[in-house]
Amino acid sequence: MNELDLLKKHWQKADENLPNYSYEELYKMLHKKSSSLVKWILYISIIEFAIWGALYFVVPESSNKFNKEMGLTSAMMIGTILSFVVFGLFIFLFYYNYSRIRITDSIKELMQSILRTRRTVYFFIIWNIASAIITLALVSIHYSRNKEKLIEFVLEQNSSLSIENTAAITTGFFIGFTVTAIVVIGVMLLLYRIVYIRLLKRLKANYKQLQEINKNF
Amino acid sequence: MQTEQEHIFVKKLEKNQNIVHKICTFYTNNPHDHKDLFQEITIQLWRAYPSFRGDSKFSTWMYRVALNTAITLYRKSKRSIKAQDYDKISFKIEYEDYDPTADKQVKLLYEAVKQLNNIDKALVLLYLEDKTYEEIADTLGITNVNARVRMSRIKDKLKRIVNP
Repeated sequence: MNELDLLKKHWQKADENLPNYSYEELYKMLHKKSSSLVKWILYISIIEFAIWGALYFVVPESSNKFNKEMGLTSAMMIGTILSFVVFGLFIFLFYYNYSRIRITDSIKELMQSILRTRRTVYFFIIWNIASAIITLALVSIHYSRNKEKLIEFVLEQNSSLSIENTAAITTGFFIGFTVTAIVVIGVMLLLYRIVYIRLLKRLKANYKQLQEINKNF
Repeated sequence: MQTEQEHIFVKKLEKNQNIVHKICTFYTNNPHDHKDLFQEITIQLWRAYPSFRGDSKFSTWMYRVALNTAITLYRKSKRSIKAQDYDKISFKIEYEDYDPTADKQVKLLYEAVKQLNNIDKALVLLYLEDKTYEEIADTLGITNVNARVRMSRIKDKLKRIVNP
């Protein structure tokens, strides 16, 4: 008897020891994994939206007062509403992508869904980063054009400073502002890299798998 | 919502699930990976189900899609098998005529088979399932001659491992 026939003898006795899934378990399996990554993108974007929303309500009073002094209240309001509307739109698009994935999709349809989701996430990241950069740039331009108001506000808040410190106040403020802006953008990029880019990589891996499987049919 | 087609598919899968379990046993080393691969195969089977035209047996079609999925998924992650993994993957077989030498050989053979490349593994699996060379060739999309040549090389290789 050759080696494989010996193995065959054992192999064929092994049937009864194999696991056995019920109809319900098998049915559930069909519906699980396929759309889970896209679902995570949706959930995470909703969480992010909630965090930004919560941050908006915990802005300190001094900051609101500062914006008011600088004549930025209405511009800030418009900016905030616009960013929340666009954010909401992206959440809708993520939901749309998620809801479009059906277990009945063919491999090609699923591949298209993955591509669509990846595209949406990229636009979402680009929009968020670009809008943060543009907002910070516009605000800094506004501040530099209204230096007098800025110095007046700072002097009002800090009695220890005097009018002779004007140059130092301006330089200090803009250095502080630039550093804060860089940190904010850096943290956003880091978070997006950790969260969304990781999910996108997994989607890409899924896409490649599907591509290979598709090639063989 | 469950469609009629889904119902028929799950019923067929339930009846033939042993095929998928056997493939999972061949390509994974622990119950967790086994279940993962089982689910992956289930999903790919369902996705490919529209291509099942009924001109071949459901089980034959199943071997083709399931092996294809296993081969594709495990192509890059070449997992080396440790000796102790054998105990986790092997089945507890009641021996009517227990022969320690044969048991040791089977153990060695399982380990050796696990180290084959994914295509050869598929070939061995189909051979163990008592498939003819024609069926093996058809399932794996290779020629009959290729299947025979590969199989004879595998046999030589296994012989060398068991009788060094």
